[in-house]
Amino acid sequence: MKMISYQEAIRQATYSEMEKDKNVFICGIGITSHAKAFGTTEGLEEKFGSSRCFDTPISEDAMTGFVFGSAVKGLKPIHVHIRSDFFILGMNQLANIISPFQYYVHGTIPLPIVFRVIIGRGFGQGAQHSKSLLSFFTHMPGFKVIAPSSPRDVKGLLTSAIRDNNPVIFFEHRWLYWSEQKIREESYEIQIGKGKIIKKGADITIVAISWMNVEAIFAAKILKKRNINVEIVDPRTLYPLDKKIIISSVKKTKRCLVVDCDWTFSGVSAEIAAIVSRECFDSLEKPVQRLGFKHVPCPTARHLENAFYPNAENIVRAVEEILQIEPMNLEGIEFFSNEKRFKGPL
Amino acid sequence: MKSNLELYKSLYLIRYCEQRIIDLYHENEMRTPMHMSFGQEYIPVGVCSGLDMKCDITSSYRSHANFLAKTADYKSFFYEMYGKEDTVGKGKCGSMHLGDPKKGHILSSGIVASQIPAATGLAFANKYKKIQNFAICFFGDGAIDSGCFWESLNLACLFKLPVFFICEDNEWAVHTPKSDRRGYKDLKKIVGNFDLYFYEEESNDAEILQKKVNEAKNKYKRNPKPIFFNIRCYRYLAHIGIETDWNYNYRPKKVYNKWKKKDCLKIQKDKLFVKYDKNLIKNTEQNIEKKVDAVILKAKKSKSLNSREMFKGLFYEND
Ligand SMILES: Cc1ncc(C[n+]2csc(CCOP(=O)(O)OP(=O)(O)O)c2C)c(N)n1
Repeated sequence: MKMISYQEAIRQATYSEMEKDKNVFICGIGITSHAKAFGTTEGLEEKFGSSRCFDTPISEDAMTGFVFGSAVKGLKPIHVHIRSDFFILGMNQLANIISPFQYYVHGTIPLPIVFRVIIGRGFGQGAQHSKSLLSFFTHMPGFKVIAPSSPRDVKGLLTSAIRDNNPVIFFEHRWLYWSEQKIREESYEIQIGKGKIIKKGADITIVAISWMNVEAIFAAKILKKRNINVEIVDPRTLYPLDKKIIISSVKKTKRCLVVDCDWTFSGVSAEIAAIVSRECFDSLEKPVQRLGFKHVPCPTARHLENAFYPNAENIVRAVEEILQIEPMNLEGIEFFSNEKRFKGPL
Repeated sequence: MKSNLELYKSLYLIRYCEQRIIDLYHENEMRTPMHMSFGQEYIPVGVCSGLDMKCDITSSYRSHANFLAKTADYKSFFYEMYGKEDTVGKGKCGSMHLGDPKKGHILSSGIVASQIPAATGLAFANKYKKIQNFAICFFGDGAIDSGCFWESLNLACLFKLPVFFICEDNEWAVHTPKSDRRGYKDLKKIVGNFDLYFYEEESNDAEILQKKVNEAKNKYKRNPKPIFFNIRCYRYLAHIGIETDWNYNYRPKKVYNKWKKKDCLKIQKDKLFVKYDKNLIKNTEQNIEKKVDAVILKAKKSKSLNSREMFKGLFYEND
């Protein structure tokens, strides 16, 4: 076991899969330049050569079809997009070519593609460099969608994603990149479609997605001071969704808050709320609540941007409301920001 | 490379299959919109045979000729048209999404130009694995209006991929001619400036086309660069459906008459008359007709996928 960052965990998973299987290759805009996609492609070109790790023209549409075609012929592409805002230029290929392809051939042709899509907040990135759009991709049949929130999970899930014979869209939140955790050095898989209870508690279930797990843990620590025990469920995979783990947690705590890392309207949080409302109807003491991005394009000015994203403070307030208790004093608590980075471990 | 007789057989199979669609469509049992290849058959026949069938292809919704030229699988063709279970697509594809990746027809797409990028990836995989095989994307002249054509062309040239871009240039995108869609005069000047081999063809002769394609393939082997063919052709029928569309007067019938004189089947058949006995040709045709007719009868009676099974096949299932 060694302390390893989220970005290093991604690099390790990629490296060992490329070493193990010569059909794995990785490409994306700028991934071989010095930034190395936040360090996640460091050393790959040197080790595996420029035929297996390469930069591409700024042609997301064609490149999405390109990786699809290569996968049909037995290669295992990893296509990196440093922002989901750019990834959606490939939407035609995703929605019209890749989504129906396996269905056309009735499940008979392996189609191993990993789209690594980096999401999240920088500082003042504005409406075109800060979207998540997780929900778009869970909405379309034919994709597995993963959003890991810790170094341990990102390494195991990326390994599984690369080995999977289906298209996987793999969301990495930038603010998680610096988080560290003791993890195994050798490669390992984590099953796609399995959620995880990342904190046990009896009073309320928070289902948190991607970065929001960090915010939820911070909120849980604050709430603990007044003896409120939060249970946090990280679904980790958004499609296929581990409904069981969510349902059994809510049946125990009888309350549920979903914190999405995306807009809420028609989003993953709405899907989870619908499932919980139906499956836990008799246990629920309160309606399921949701937090997520405000329903506007992301504004640039710092105070507006802060208001756009949910954080631990919003989670504390939402929990207080659900539990019908007085709001506590949060003065003096410094919440995460672009300057106050989360370094982990969770 | 195929002999004249083989080329003719392939052309005749396509023409006859589509003729049967025309005859039977009114029964309303083939419930899938038809974009007919009628008149344009020489393109996929000449291109695939020019590569000795060693190719993977993607095509547009105008897929009939491409599918049959590549796979010759008229059984799957009709089973798919009738929405029956005993095909790769199990009736989920219909006319617009014909394909059989294991036989080298990867997919047909109903979104103009969207089938093009995949061919670059197929070609990349062949190059990566050092397999001597070409990828081909077939597309209409309308697809050249689309950004993903240019993106694909650019990256194919940049990566020097073994890919053929085959423009099935029938002049029209539904009812809009090229001149109303292009902000430039000469495609050759623009596409020809990419680092590729540029060809034009308007003979309607599958044999001439196969020779040119074969020559292009050899050029690639000597000095790898993608290949672009602009191939003129004429769509005999309406953009969609099984009927002619002269009554709409959007394109002059005299142009049709010109093309009809050099119909691609007629060209090959005339060559056969020189070499072969009339009866042999007649027998060849009848043989194809018999086989196709038998398959159609079977397809009609064959069973369909149970709708309880409609959730199958969304993900790869043989792990
Ligand atoms: C992206 C997209 N836009 C519009 C359409 C509607 N449409 C279907 S066929 C067609 C014309 C395409 O013409 P061309 O590429 O020349 O092919 P052809 O039908 O002549 O074979 C159009 C505009 C479509 N299918 N896809």
